[in-house]
Amino acid sequence: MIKSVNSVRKTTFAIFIAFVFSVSIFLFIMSIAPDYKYLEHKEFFSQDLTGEKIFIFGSSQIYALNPVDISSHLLKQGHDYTVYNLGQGSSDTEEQLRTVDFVISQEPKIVVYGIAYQTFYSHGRTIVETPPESLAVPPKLSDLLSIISLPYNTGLLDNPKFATINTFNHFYQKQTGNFQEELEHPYPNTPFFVRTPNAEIPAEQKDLEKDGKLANYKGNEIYPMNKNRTYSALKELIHILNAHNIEVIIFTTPHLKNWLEQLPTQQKEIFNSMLDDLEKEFNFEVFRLHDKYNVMDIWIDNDHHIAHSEKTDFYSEEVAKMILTRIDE
Amino acid sequence: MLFTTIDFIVFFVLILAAVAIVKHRKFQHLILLGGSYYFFYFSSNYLIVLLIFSTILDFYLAKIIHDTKDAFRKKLLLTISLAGNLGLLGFFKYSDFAILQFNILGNYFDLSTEIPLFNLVLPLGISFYTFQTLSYTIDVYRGTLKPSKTLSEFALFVAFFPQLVAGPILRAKQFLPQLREKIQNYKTGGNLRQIIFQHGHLKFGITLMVFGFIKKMFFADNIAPLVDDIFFNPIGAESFTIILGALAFAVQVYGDFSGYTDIAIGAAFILGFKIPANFNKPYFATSPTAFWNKWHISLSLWIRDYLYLPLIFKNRKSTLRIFVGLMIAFFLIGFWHGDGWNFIIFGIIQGLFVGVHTILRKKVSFLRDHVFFKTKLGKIVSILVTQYLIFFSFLAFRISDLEHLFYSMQKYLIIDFQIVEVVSVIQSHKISIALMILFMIIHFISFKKGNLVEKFANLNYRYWILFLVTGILSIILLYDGNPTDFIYFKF
Repeated sequence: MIKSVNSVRKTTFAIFIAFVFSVSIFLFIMSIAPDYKYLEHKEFFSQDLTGEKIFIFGSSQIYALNPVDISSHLLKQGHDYTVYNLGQGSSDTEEQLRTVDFVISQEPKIVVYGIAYQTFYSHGRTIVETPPESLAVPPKLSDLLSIISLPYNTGLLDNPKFATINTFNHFYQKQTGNFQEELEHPYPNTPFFVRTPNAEIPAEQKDLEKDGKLANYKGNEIYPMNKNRTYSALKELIHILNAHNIEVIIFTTPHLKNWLEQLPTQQKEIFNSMLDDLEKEFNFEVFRLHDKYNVMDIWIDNDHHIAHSEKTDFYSEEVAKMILTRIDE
Repeated sequence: MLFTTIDFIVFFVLILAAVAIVKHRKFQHLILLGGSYYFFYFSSNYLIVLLIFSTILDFYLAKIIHDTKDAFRKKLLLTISLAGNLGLLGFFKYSDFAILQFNILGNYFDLSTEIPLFNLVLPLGISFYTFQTLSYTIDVYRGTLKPSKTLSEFALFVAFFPQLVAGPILRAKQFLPQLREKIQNYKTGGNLRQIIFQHGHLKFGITLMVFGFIKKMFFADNIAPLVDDIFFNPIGAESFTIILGALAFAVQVYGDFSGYTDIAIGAAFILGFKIPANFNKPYFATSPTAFWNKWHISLSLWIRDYLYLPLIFKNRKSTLRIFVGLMIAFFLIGFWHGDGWNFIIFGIIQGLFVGVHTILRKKVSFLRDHVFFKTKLGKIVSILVTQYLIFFSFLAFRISDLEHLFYSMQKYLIIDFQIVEVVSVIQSHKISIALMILFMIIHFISFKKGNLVEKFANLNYRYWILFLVTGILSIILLYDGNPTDFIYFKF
């Protein structure tokens, strides 16, 4: 019996040792894993960006927005703003939440978010149960770990998978020679976009369609509002920015007609309910472009149209109009 | 409360501490019961009322059934129990499905009105605990089980937190006696408290739990994005993409569900309770019938004992009766999983597989006894063919949209030999593919070398710590910051 009790203690001690070792190694790895995206943002926002500013955020769907054109449109109406297109490929709202303090520190007048269906793709990630308020709830893991300060206090602990994959990808690119230190940007004031010549040529109809349906259709499920993490992050972003007297404009980015038609009805309903919910909660209009240019001859694929082209100048103009509408309000 | 959250770890440690401090058996049971209700209330809020209702209903009905001599009255009471339990399950799980079908039918006959949907929240674990309480009442009715002596013991059987929300589906005769077991103190000859932490239990339980966490969080959750991408809209996809998706889903669902079961069994084992296994290397089954002896075993056995055997009871030799019995049983297994036509299709396909296999074995002795199937090659062929068929049926498990489902099934069966798309899918999901391959290697080693959990649990402390560190690190380095629901929570 005594032997058994001692063994229980030994086993418990072994579990404790294993736990301490694991957490220490994990924190060590996280502390040496540079968060490249975060550091890029840090570097950009540490500049002295003078004058009145407007920041536009979004994923690759806002690549074609030319910030210089938008500034010119605004100036014609007597509003002198420097516009920055801070979109980044595959960026999502959870990630943007990590750098929101940098944004606030620059005191922009307006922040514009271009959102697409893709913004709310869930990729299996969900918001799990919320316990009843009457219960004593243990603190979240991220709360517990927030007391630990890493050399780059970047919020990597909130999403270790992101850090692991990011570090691995960066290492892989360096090893395979695909890594470029100096990258060309599509327009001025687009620090996080890389110039891609393919973005200038529209795809042929046969590449976009196959048997009347979209060729190479790709998509992912959008979970409903109460389960959707990126939607929840977007709302949190708006709340934080509004609390710092920064105006927020939301618009939906354009999509190809064929793709919209193939999108399951339920997914469309979820997306629309999110837009309605945003309008209701924040008392503003969500500008809806997602089905506005869907039949034009400008598409590269289902949600990207050509850039650096007169054919798509209307996109920057449209966003400038939204900003003017909000300024006039 | 999800097993894969810090909430559960804190909760479990507190329960262990409380049980260790309290010496009295009855208080230990009350702590477990209170903890189980907290565990359930944490996720399900007021829906705990249903769990308590089910518990009270079956506890008292079973008691009365046991005490009643009148056969008709016994039958009536059993019917009340069945109606109460299945009524709740049916209402919460299937009412909207029924209304939807009615409305579709109404549209077909040009009826102008539509019945509005209830949009009910599915109570967590209702399919599991309903089957547990039902088996208890039926066993008492049949006279194969004596009713529980106390309400608290029965309530603990129904609500025992490790297996409450996704099984394994426990039988009262497996669990209730464990509550009354006592450990003899060999020195004094007296009885010790029933729940006592033993070093062997603790080490094995922790090892099993770590295996479960790895299966769920390292494998299943990181393979899920590949599956989601393929099946979100598979129209236009190539055959090999669909096959890859089916294979990936097979690994995901096994990792997810057996991972949950491992954590459940491990947690219960640490507390001194034995819960029967729910999986036994199903992907090495050599026939559809063998597959169901290795996959979700507690559900298969439940359906066998309480539905299939009574159905064929009167004529076990009739091939037709056996086939019809199997089709009904698998139809209900499919429907048990969810309120969609895809689950019904899943059940029917499985019923056909098992039915045809059973009849072939019965009628075509040449096939059954053929020497080829006893050779190594024959077994490999049997495994591959069986799994190809099982993964085919998994398409119905995964894809709820019927147009998508039928397209995928057609592509799965009639191979187009295109490989352009599948290469691009593999390139964009390297991590998921690597994990799939790793999982299959480990699964194969586990099949060849026997129980890996036992082997790891028996390691000396130095290596055991190394195992734990490797396990924990692999989980947290690929953890995306938010736990993911278990697939079987939806059922």
